[in-house]
Formats: sequence, structure tokens, C-alpha cells
Amino acid sequence: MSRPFRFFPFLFLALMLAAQSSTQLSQRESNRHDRRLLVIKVDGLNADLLYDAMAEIDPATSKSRLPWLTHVFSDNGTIFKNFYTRGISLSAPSWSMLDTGRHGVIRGNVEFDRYTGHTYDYLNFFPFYIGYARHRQMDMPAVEVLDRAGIPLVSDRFPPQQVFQSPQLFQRGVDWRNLEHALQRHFSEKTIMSMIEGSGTPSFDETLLSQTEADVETALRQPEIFYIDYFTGDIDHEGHATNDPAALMIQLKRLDAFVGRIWTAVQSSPLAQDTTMVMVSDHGMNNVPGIHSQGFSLPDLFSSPQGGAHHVITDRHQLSDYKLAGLNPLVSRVPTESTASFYLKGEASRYPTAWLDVDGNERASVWLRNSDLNIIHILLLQLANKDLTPPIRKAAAAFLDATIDRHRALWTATANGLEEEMHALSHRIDERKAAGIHRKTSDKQANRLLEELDEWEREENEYSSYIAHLRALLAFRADPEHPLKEKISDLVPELVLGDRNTAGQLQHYVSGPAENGLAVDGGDRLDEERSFRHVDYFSLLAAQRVRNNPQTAMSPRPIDFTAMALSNGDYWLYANEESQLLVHVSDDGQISVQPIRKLTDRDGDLRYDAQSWHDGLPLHLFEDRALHLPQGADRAAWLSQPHNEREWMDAIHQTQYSNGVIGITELLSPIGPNVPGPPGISPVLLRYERRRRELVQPDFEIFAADHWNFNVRNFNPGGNHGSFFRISTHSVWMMAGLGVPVHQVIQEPYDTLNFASTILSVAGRTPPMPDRVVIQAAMH
Amino acid sequence: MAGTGLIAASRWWFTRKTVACVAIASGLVCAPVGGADLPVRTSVPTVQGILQPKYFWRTTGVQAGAEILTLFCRLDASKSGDEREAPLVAILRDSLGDNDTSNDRLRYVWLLSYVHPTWRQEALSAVPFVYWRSGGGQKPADTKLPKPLIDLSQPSGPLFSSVGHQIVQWSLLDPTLMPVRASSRTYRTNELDDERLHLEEAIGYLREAPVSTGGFLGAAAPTRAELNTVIARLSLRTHMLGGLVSEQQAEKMGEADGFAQEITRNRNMETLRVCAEKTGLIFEPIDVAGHVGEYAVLWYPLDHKFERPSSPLNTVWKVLTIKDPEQDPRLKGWRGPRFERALDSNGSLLPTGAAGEPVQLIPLAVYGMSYPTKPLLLADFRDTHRVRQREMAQRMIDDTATGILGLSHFTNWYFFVGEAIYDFVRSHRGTAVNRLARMDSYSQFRVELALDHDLDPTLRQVMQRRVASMALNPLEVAPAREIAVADARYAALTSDAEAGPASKLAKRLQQDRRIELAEYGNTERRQVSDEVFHRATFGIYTRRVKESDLNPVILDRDRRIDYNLAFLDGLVKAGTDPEVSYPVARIRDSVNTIAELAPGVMVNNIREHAANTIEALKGISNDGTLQADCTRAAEGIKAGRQLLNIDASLSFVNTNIASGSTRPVAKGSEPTK
Repeated sequence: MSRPFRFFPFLFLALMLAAQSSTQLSQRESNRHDRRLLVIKVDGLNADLLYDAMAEIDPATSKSRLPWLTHVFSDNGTIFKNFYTRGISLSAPSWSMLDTGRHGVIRGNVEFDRYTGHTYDYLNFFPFYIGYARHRQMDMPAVEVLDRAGIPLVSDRFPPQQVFQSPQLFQRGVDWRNLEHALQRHFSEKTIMSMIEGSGTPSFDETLLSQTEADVETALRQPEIFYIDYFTGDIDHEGHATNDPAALMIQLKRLDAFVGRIWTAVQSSPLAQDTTMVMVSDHGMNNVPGIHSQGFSLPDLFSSPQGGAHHVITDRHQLSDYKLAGLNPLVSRVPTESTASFYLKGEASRYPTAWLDVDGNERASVWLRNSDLNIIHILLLQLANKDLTPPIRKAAAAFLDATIDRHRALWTATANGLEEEMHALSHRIDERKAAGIHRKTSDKQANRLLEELDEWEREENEYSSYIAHLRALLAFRADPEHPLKEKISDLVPELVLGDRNTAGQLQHYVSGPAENGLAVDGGDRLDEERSFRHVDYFSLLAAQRVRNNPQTAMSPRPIDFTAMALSNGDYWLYANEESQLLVHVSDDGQISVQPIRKLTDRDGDLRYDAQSWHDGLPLHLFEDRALHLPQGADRAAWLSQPHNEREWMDAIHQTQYSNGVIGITELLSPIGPNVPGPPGISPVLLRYERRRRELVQPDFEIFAADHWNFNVRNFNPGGNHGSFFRISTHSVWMMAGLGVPVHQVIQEPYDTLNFASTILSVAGRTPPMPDRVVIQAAMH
Repeated sequence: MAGTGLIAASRWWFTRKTVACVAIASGLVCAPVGGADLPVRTSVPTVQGILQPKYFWRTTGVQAGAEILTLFCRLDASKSGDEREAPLVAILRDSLGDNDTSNDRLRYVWLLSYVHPTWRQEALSAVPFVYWRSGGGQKPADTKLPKPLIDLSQPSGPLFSSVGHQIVQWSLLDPTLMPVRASSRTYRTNELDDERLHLEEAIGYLREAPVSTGGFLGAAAPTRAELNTVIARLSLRTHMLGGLVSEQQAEKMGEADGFAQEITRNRNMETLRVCAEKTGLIFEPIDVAGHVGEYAVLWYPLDHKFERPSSPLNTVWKVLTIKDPEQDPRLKGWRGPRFERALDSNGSLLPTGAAGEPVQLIPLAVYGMSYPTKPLLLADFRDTHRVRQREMAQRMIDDTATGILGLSHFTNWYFFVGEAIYDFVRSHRGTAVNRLARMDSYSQFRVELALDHDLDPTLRQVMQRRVASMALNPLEVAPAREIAVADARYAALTSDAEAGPASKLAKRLQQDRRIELAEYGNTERRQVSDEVFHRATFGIYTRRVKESDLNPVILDRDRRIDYNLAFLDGLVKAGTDPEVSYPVARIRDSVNTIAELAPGVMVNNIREHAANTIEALKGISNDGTLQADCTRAAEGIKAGRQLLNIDASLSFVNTNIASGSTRPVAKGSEPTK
């Protein structure tokens, strides 16, 4: 080898080392940019419960009762002391905002499509796991809804290979290894021995949680993983079951020990200096020692004659049914027949007319079949009756035609719009089919596309059926002389609710034919008042009382108030005829609240009496001592003026109903504008996606009085959530680690929308709503 | 060898007790003997007594450095004006005569209301299909020391006799003639039911007991952890292998069981309230013997008809296990008790005596809330025999299947699988199928009803009649008789404790301490072999250390090591920085205590365990001083056994034990050499 070439090996080695070092450096730079985010999600953890326990000193140790939570977040991090659920304090809606940083497009734990009866059951894991095993469902239903709406999760901001996600409501895919290892743990020698000894075995949920913790620790050791989240529902379950402070403290201590282990694992992980650890809860819990939450059965009310004698749909079997079918984990639509039904006896499975989401604990969503659809159905049944007298037949036929004509413009527009959307959808279906994608175990993306295709096909069938019924109704003219020949099910679709009821319809809801049948007025017209039974749902709900109420601390009135969006875009809160609120949001986001009485809605003509602020109005703002107004401000004057969200939040967050004013606007606002649609979606299909979301909106919401709940599946005597009560909305948000100031307690109130944008910002990612980032504003 | 020993032990036991009863029962027809209810001691009520809690502890000193904690129920009835105190449960705390709680052990638990059955009761309990109470039990002897219900220091003891029973039953009795099989199985079932009844009774009392919170109760009451352990041990006695559960696990289990029971009670209470609302009945929770949230009555309002929902109510009536009163002709000519009460404007029941809309109420049923899946019907006021017939029917089926037909879980598994499926279906359709859980609820109700003096006397009397009709076990004794006997047993126990050197309890305690010393640090193999020898020799051989003046000192040392080691083990198991959860001084104190005491322990296991724990602790600690302590301690322990310098404390311990004081001066305050 000649002299110059003798140095080549050394040069090559040096170059290799330099290259490697440069790669490492760039990797480190990249890692520094992609800071690690570790999110601990605790379902149903009440902030007051946690912060009080953290502040409490254990006399046995002279340290905090929750030493690790105090050490990590209080001593070495930042606590957002006043963090609230935005909207109703319910898991699915709340996590949807926490996990996306966007306004909610999911507004209940279960939702029903008014035109198809399709059920969106967000809390049920079983169908998802079975669907995933069959490669038919790749993500939890809530994630699918967000995907269709074009709203990414926080975890989607990271490449899939950089993400570790534990089982949760907003879960993408299933990690079978997690389940496999959990099963191994569950049937380990130790567990079996405990079972034989009779000392009790942990539930599978507990084992799964332990396995997930082990998986989190494994993920922490992997430097290529930048997003880790861990979800636990244990505290929520315990809070529902008991209000015993000692039992809840045990759960908190478990959480504390978990945080200690994870913090220790973080400290010894390769990205210890680049990790931000976050703890968040989706809502609080109305746990008050000594007071047990009591249930009020809305299905019983709606199936009773005074409630409309509806056949009622719930998403689960009622506990009082004590049926084996109640064990079926795949069920998401259960009809309960009303024996008092006025015109649909024995038709519970075909024509249920009241659909309830009572999973909301302290609140329930109510979908009622459109009152005019009831009129049409009743009149069709009457016209089919051969014994109907000619004058009544003639009057009924005319009234039926008039009812259809009243909706003609709207239904025509709906049918045309939906048809156009179905055409576009059909085109997408053909395209997707032509792409030749096949189901593969390993290709999740392909499976997702095929699952979406299945959904599109189902939707096309169901909406097309609805259009066909609308067209048939529009083409129908009632024969004033002969009995009806058409099949009623061709005109009135089964398992369909039709358009949303207006406030006027709900105040004068047609629940059946009158006891004495149809009647004509002095002329030849049908006398509507005498021909039908009517229900005013607002006064009916306000009048409810419970006899068996052994707790003197609780009101016998189980219902606090009802709320709905009005046709003019305002939101109406009804406690009783004399105590109502009207909430208005201006185009520039200013919210104003007006006390009113006796609101009526006659075909869109809203009338009411304005009144001054007084005690007893919904949300009880006026009399609440915790209302915090600017110095010198007059209560009534301030409350009557429009204010922006921040001003409202500062003023009301410590009141009994916390951020209820803002929550109402989030809950009842039009949902369409919150749906951006996936990138590149056509305007017609975007309209379709927005329509689908609008179609799951209920007619109205019922809010339970303090310590009452609407559960029918599992009684939750420990406590509940779902309302705007501060104890139910006050949630936990704490952060520690990279980019987080130490020993900070932020007193300024924030809500769910601030969370995702802030943590993504800390992690060096683009926040979905930059104006909601609070880390700089609040911490410095 | 071990198996033979167990069989021999079981055979001996059966020869002595069961077979004799079987033989007697086969040839004799025993007439039921009614138990006379003895009057309960009464005294003048005091204001202080009324203000005091219903359940309270009283301490009695025992020679040899121990104390008996007795749980009393104050039967002060504000209505009757009497004040009575019924002793219920006694627990012996072996404190070694000092104030240091780290070396305390709870040893024996007595159910003072336990009445030993007479031979006639035992004989009748071996006769199949005899389902009635048959006597008042033996008279308690004034001088005889009551037998503990459970020995907490030997939790695995009953395991061997239980296994022995099963083996003898399967291998010897089942293959023989049907009458022998049926009698022996019936006897065993009754015996286990009777034992369970009393265990549940004791658990029920202890769940109501106050605990020491460091306040005025002080050491007069057990701590929450101690009480949880006792409750768990009692509960585990109902499981064949329950004695194998560790101390730490038992404490956790006791705590978890308490919370689980509360959750069950709350859920059942709400279920019953909702059912009442649906069926137009009136629901009223009742406190029985101060037990809140455990029982409720359903009333039928005469002349008031409340609206019912329009959904079918069949399943609701099934859950309530009563007939719809609207459809019941018996209510038309109702001759049973009626109560005048009042309703408010909402139709809600007002408290007794409150003014409102008058209403006449007929009591329909009383429910217990501790059954796991639903409110359990305990008394049906319209049908005296309904509950009893249901219980008898199930016992009869069980006795026929296992005793008469001789169906076995192994050879006739299909029968039991079928039965399990049938029960599963019935359970999910609202039937209470778990006989043992039903018995637990019944057990609790019968004694609490006997203790209660606050309920309306008429209502209580009707309830007592209904509950008495549910007694199916010939070994069972009327609860009022049990409460009366408790006084005598308590007197026997305390007089023995105060008997000075002649105390049988003190002697037994000394003997058991010698066993404890002999067992300290033993391997599992050694423990099993000791137990087998003990059983094989019918209890003649028991491994104990020799009597010595040093024993209390060594026991104190061993217990303190155990206590501190358990604390450090907990820190190590957590795997996190220990200084975050505990003050460094507290951890160092434990490390130094072990460093001081462990080298003197002769058993290698303990020293190795201590050294390993301390080294592991050092690994997770971030505190320099603690790490230094750990290093020094581990080295010291590893360096080998050192002679225990006991001279300093020997004279002190002897002084305390000889004095008989139950609350001696703390060791720390004694002058040291």
C-alpha cells in the first residue's frame, strides 16, 4: 500500500464517526423539537376532592396525604386550580374536546340519527373489540365520528409509530398484546391462589389497568415514542358507587402511587429532560358525603299517559327489567313498550316515539318524534278505519293534506339536498370500490377505508329510504271518501323521528288521538284541540315530584330545568312558567342572558314577557354569593349586559352552576360550523357530514336537580355528573416537566378548550386553536 | 405422611363428635326443646349514657401483659327508659405490657353471645330434613373460660380440620350406606351454617364498632387496620383455604369488603326505593339497633292509590318477592297491624308523629340491603311461611342431591353445571339464589332485631315472629337467649382475666407466645411439617420454645423487627423515592431499629430478608443520610449474628409483667443502663 493510501482506513473511520455523530446530533435536535408528552387521563376526578386531599397533611407521615401528586405537580409543576368542563360534564363530549382542542361535535354519551334511527354508542367497548377482531371496525365510534368530521386527535399530531395509546373512549385500534398480557396476569398463579383462598381476585379491569401501566413504563423506555397516554376510569366508577370519603381516598392513594411510579420511570427514561407530564380529568363528580344520589325514571314518565304514552328507546336495558338480555353487551337500542300507548299498541319495535340518552346521569337528552309526524300517523290510521263517518273522514283527509303541505317546502328541500348528497356519496362509494382495497390484518389504513365504505353504503341505503318516504308523503293526497289503501309504513318510516320539534310543538305535542276520537268544528274542519291529546313537556317536567324521597336534604322535585335551542338561534332555559332564561350569542361572540317568563312559540313567532333578575331563575346566578363581578357593578345590570366568554368565566366560575352560561352555548350551538371536514372534501359531502351531525341533535335537554339522576341501567347512589353544577364540572389539569414552570398555581379559570392547544404548544406542535393556548399567558 | 396424618386427625374428630351424633340421631327421636329467653340486666339511664355512642369498647387488663377489648352495645331505649349494655365481642390484644404499639398482636376473638348447642341439638342436627330450631343451648359455666371463635395467631389452623372433614366425608362416609352419608352431610351442613351464622354475627357487630383514631378512645379501641384484619380473618373462616391469606392481604381485604358492602347496601337501597316508586308503595329505611342504611320497610297505603308507570311491572314484583297488594284479597280483610302515619303534600311519608295528611299503612315487607345483587326479602307480613318455605325448599333439594342421592361434584358434574346455569338465569331475572349470602343477611337481622329497642314495639314483635320462623338449623339458638348468655360469658372471661396467676387465659397466652417464638422466621416447609406433626399427634405435639425469662424480650424484639421490616418492605415494593412519602427520620428510625435488633436474630431468613430490604431501600433512596444508614445497617446484619444485649431491658420487662399492669410505663421512658 502506497503512503497516501495508508491513511484511507483512518479517514474512512473518521468520516463514519463524524457522520454518526452528526446523525445523533440531528436526532437529538429532532427529539428536542419533538418533546415527549405523557398524558394521564383520569375519568371523573373531581378537582376539589383531589386538591383538598393534596393539601391535607397526614398526621402519620407529616406529609401530604397524596405525597407524589404534591411532589410532582405542586412542588415541581403547575396546577390549574380552576379548570372546568365546557358544555355538559359528560365523558364522551368532554373527552372529545380534550382530545382534539376543538369545539364539540359529540354532545352525549349516545346519539340517535333522527332520519335513520342509527345509534352512536360512544361508551360501549364490546362491539368495537369484536369489530376490530373481525377487521370490520378499526377505531372506537367516537374516533370514527371525529375522523368523518375531519377533526384530528392530539395523538394524531404525532406519527403512529411515535404514539402509545392506552385503551380509552377515543381509542384508535386495539393492541392485542396488552389484552393478552392482561389475561395472563388475570389468570396468573397468584390470582388463582387468591381466588382459592377466598381473598378476592382483582377485576379484569384492574388487571388491564396494571398491564397498561406496565406498557406505559415500557413505552417510556423507548426513545422513539413521543406521545404516551394512560386512561383510567376507576375513580369515576368508584365515585358513582360510593360517596364515602375513605373509599374515594383509597382510589386517590392508588392514583398517587401510580404517579409516583410513572414519575420515577420518567426520571430514569432516556427522554427524562424532554418530557412533559400532564394529568387531566374530563369532569368532576357530585359526591357529597351523607347524601345519596337518587334516580328518577324518565322512561316511566314518557311511557305514562300524561308523558305521551310513548314507546321509549334507551341505549341499554333498564335494570328494573331484570332480563337476561340485559347481559348482552352488544345492545345499543332497547325499546320499552308503553301499555298505555294511544295509537301504537304493540308497535314498540317499529314505532318508538321517544328516544332517550339517560346515560347522562344528571342530564338526559330527549329525541321525540316530530309532532306533525304523529299527526300524520294518527290520521293515516284513522283514515284506514272503514267505520269513520264521512264528515270526519273528509275533515281528517283535509287536515292531513294541510299538515303535509305545511312541511312541503322544507321536506322538498331536504329530499333534494339529501339526494344530491347521496349522489355524491354514491360516487365516492364507486371510487372507493374501484380502488381495489382488500382487507388485511396488518394494514389498518386499508381496513379503515373499507370500514368507511361499509358505513357509506349503510348510510346510502338508510337515507335513501328516508328520502323515498318523504317523496311518498309529498306525493300523497288523502282520499276524503274512501278508506286508506296505501301501506302506512310506506308513508311513515319506521324507527325514524323526522325533523326536530320546535318549542311550540313541544309545548303542544300531539301524543295521540283524543279519547273520543277525531272531532270536527262547527264547519267541516277537523277540530285540532278536540281531536288530539296534547302534552306540554316543559310544564310536565317542571311539575314532577317524587313521593319516595327519604332524604330530607333533597328536593322532591327531581328536575331542575330544561333547555333547548329556539328557532331564532337563542337558547331557552325553562325552570317553570315564571322562571326562564334566554341566552343569546352575538356574531362577535358576546353572550347575553335575559330573564323572561311565559315564552310561547306559535309557528316560529316567539313571544315572552321580559322580567327583572330575581331568585329562582335557572342557573341561580342572581342569588349566588359566589358570583364575582367587577368592583362596584350592580348584579342585575351586569347580568343583563352582553359580555365576552372571558368576562362571563371570571364572574361565574365559582357559582353553583360554574360556567353554565358558556356551557349552554357550547351544548346547544349549531354543530355544523364545528365540522371542518377532512382535507379535500367536496362542498356537497361537507354539507352531508354537517347534516349528519345536526341530525343527531336532540329536541331538548333535561337537567336533574341536585343529587338526582336519570340512570336506569345502573343506579349510582354514590354520585353523578352531567350537569353544570360546579362540583360536576370542576376538573383536574396539572402539568410538570419540560416547559412547565415549577410551584405554580394558576387561579384564572379555564375550560376544556384550552387543554389540547396548550399541551400541544408545550410539546412544540401546532395548536388547533392558538388563541386558547394559556401556557404563556397564565404561567408567566 | 401428611395426608395420612390429616385423615387420622379427621377420623378422630369424627369419631368423637360426628359419628356419635349420627348414631344417636339414627336411633333417637328428639323432641324440640324451647329456649327460654332470659331477662336482660337493666339499670337507670343516665344523660351521659344517652349521649354516648351505641357501640363502645371496654378494656380489661390481663396478667402477662395483655388486655381484653370488649365491644358493648348500649341498649338504651329512649322510648322505654331502660339502659342496658350487652357485651358482644371480645378481642385479646397481646401488648407485652407496654405502650409500644409496634409489638402488639391481636390474638383471640370471642363471640360472647355464642351458645354451645346441647347434645340433643347436635343429635337432631344430624337428622336429614329436620328444619327447625330445637333448643336453647347449653348453660354457660361460670368458671369455664369461653372458647375463642377464632385464634388470629393461627389463621391456618381450621384449614387442616376443614380439609380433613372433606377427605373423611368423601373417602369414608360417602361410600357407605345412604343413612350415614345423609346424616353426616346434614350434620356437617348444619354445623357449617351455625358457624357461619356466628361468624357473620361477629362481623356485623365489628362493622359497627368504633375505632381508635388517637383521640379519646385511645388504646381502648382497636385501630381501623386491626379491626379490618379481624373482620377479614372472620370472613375468611368461611373459605376452606382462607387461613392461607397473609396478614397484609387480610387487612386490605377487610377494608375492601367494608367498602364493597357499603356500595351494595346503597345500591340495593336505591333499587328498593325505585321499585317502591314504580309500584305505588311507600318506602321507609329503618334503623335497627343503630344500624343505619341496612333495612327498609315497604308500606301499603290504604285509601291512597298512587299512579304506576305504563310499562309492565312483573319483573319489579319478582325483585320485591312479594305479591301485588292491589291484587291481594288478603288485604281487604286485613287483620294484621296497621299504623297511623301522615303524608306531606307530595305524598311523601312524614316521620312518626309529624302532622300531615293522615294515612293508614299496612307493612308489607322488610328488606335487608347486604345481599349482593338485590334487596333481600327478610319478612313478608302477609305470609308468615313464605320466606321459610323458600329456604326449606332449597335446603331440601341440596340435602336430597348430596345426602340422599349422593350426587358428587366429580362424578355427577353435569347436575351441578345444570344447577349453576339455572341459578345464573334465575339470578339475572331477579331471584336471590345464593343461600349462604341469604343466610348472612338473616344472621345479621336476627341479632340486630334482638338488640333493638327503638323500633315501634308492635312492628318489632311482628318482625321477630317472622324472623324466628326462618330458623332452620337445629343448632341455632334464639337471639334473645344469646344476648342473655353473653353477660355470663363476659363475666367468666373478665373474672378469669382478673384471677391473677391462676388465670387460664394468661397461661394459654404464655403457651401461645412460646409457639410464636418457635415459629418465628420458619420456612413454609417447616411450618407445614410442624402443623402436620401437631395434627398427626392429635395436638399432643406442639412446637414451642422452652419457658424462659428471656422470652418476652425476644418476642418484643421479633415483633418490632417484623413491624419495621413490614414498613420498609412496603417502601421497597412501591419502588419509588421513599423520602417523598415519609419523613427521612421515620425511615431512618426503622432502618436503625432493624440494624440494632436483627443481628441478634438466630434465624437466617430474617437476617437475609432484613439485609436485602435495606439494600433495596438504599437503591431507591435519594437521601445521603438514609443511604449511609442503610449501608451501615446492611453491613452490620451481614456481619453475622451478634449477641443480644438483653441485660438492660430484662429487669424492666419482668417488673412490668409481675406487676400485672395492663398499661405499664413505656419502655422509652425507663432509665437505661
